[in-house]
Amino acid sequence: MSELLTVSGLTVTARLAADDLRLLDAVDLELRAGQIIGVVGESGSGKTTLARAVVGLLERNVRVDQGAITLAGQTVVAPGVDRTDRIRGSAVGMVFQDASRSLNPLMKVRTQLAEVLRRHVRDITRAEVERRSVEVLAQMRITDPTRVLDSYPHQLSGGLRQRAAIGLAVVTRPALVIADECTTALDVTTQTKVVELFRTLVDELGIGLLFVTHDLMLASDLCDRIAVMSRGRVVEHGDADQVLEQPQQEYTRRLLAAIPSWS
Amino acid sequence: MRGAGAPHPRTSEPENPVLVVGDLVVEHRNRSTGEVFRAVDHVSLSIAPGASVAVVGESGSGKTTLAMAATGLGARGTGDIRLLGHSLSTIGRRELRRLRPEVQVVFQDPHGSLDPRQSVRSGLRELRALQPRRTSWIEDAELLGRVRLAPEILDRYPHQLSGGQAQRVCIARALLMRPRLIVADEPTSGLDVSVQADVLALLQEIRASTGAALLMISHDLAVVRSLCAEVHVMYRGQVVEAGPCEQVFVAPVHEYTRELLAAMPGARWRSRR
Ligand SMILES: Nc1ncnc2c1ncn2[C@@H]1O[C@H](COP(=O)(O)OP(=O)(O)O)[C@@H](O)[C@H]1O
Ligand SMILES: Nc1ncnc2c1ncn2[C@@H]1O[C@H](COP(=O)(O)OP(=O)(O)O)[C@@H](O)[C@H]1O
Ligand SMILES: [Mg+2]
Ligand SMILES: [Mg+2]
Repeated sequence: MSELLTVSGLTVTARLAADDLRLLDAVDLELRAGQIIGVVGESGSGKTTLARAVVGLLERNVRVDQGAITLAGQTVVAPGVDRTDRIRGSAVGMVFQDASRSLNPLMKVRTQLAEVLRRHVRDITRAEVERRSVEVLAQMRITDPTRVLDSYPHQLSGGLRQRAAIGLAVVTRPALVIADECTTALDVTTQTKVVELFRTLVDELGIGLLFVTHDLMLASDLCDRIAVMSRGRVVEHGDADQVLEQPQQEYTRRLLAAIPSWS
Repeated sequence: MRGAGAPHPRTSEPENPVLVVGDLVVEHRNRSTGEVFRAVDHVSLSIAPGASVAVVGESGSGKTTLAMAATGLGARGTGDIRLLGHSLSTIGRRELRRLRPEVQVVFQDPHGSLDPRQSVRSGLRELRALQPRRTSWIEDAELLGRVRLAPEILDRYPHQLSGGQAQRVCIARALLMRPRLIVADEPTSGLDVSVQADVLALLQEIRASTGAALLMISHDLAVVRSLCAEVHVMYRGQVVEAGPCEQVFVAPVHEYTRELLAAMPGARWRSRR
């Protein structure tokens, strides 16, 4: 079966005043359609850098030195190559921790959905924009889509805002969604609902989801595969059950041992 | 019973609770709209000397407001609060100031609690100057050793400390005062799990070695269960369920407690161990 996303040997460096800092070191990952991969690790391990590399949103002092990222067989990122502007927002959707990074605080949800749809769906009609906006919010299990469409982000609860952000990420029917700590700011009961929503979306729409989280337990509930990162490297990568039940690396074992026991 | 007539709290009955909160109501008034919001709604609890009691609940449920009112540090509200045997409604200012060192609070953001312009050493020196007799029992280096920090840390400034190190410094500063009650308000929420595990172990050890009681505020049920014997579940300002952790977490009675337990991440992992 072919991979949706392949990251191979990705090495990323930041230029600093004094010297260079390696942020990612020969990272390998694969993700198929209809699968969720959890990228877990402690803060500073490089999770966000990896997520941003895939969508071409690395900061200006950061460069890809080696390796490549391919999406459905096409190389989108390689040293000196950045074709991410063709896929960002269309083939790849993004959701961030802070809904204000995903949503524009100054625009109603309706306007934001319409803008993305017009940008990525050629000759879309006004009626079609409205239909797909309502449809995607319904898919997000939002019971009153019209009210949410007519709201500014700050008028929504945290959970509702994050659902609207996910709706915005998937309204163009991307093949891949990148979610970076997108439930971290939510309360656990809200987090659970968002995570369940992701699982349903992946199963129903067959998208691939790269789910970045510092919470290994959350990843264990949601993900099919898990990649454990430490100091810019993927130290362990495999089937979620296998990584959690038979961790091969000392680092993974230590992470699991640090989780408070429940009994 | 003005001030319980007990100027020397350490001589009071050993079995007296360090904290009793009776029917506490705390309301916040929104400055611009004038609207009143009841953050704590008829809450009662009691903490025995050396006990470990947790308050759990989602954000906005009133945990911090409760902790601040109970320790006389925040909006006071109505209701009876007895802190180390003194009623907060009748205690005089000077008496309260004398009590203060015995109740130490550790906050979520350790960097926010430390003065960025002061090295760890000079911060400790300042505390010692405020309470010379109370703090003379231990040297700086040994104090840092108690929180597993090397003496080199004394010359660092807060921005040179990691989150875990900064939180240990905060715990050391609390420990220096030999408190009888430590209130920890989400002390590990911003920390990585491995650092969190160390900080929790440290709090546990300090409680065991000094006999201080712990009031732990958290939204994380696993953290609470690993550290505390008793738990109060807060929801919208009210304690909806309270009891020993082993009872509340194993056989929850209230619908909201069940919901919280069901939402805890890691069910899949735990079921396979
Ligand atoms: N633009 C940058 N310049 C320099 N260092 C950076 C830059 N972006 C990230 N870093 C550093 O790279 C490391 C990994 O960061 P990040 O990918 O954000 O980790 P995570 O998301 O796992 O917390 C951190 O040490 C961070 O400080
Ligand atoms: N100083 C304040 N002024 C107005 N409202 C406040 C203030 N402090 C807290 N609140 C409100 O009171 C409620 C409880 O807050 P808090 O005690 O901080 O809860 P928790 O610690 O459980 O997250 C929240 O709705 C919060 O917005
Ligand atoms: Mg990150
Ligand atoms: Mg709080």
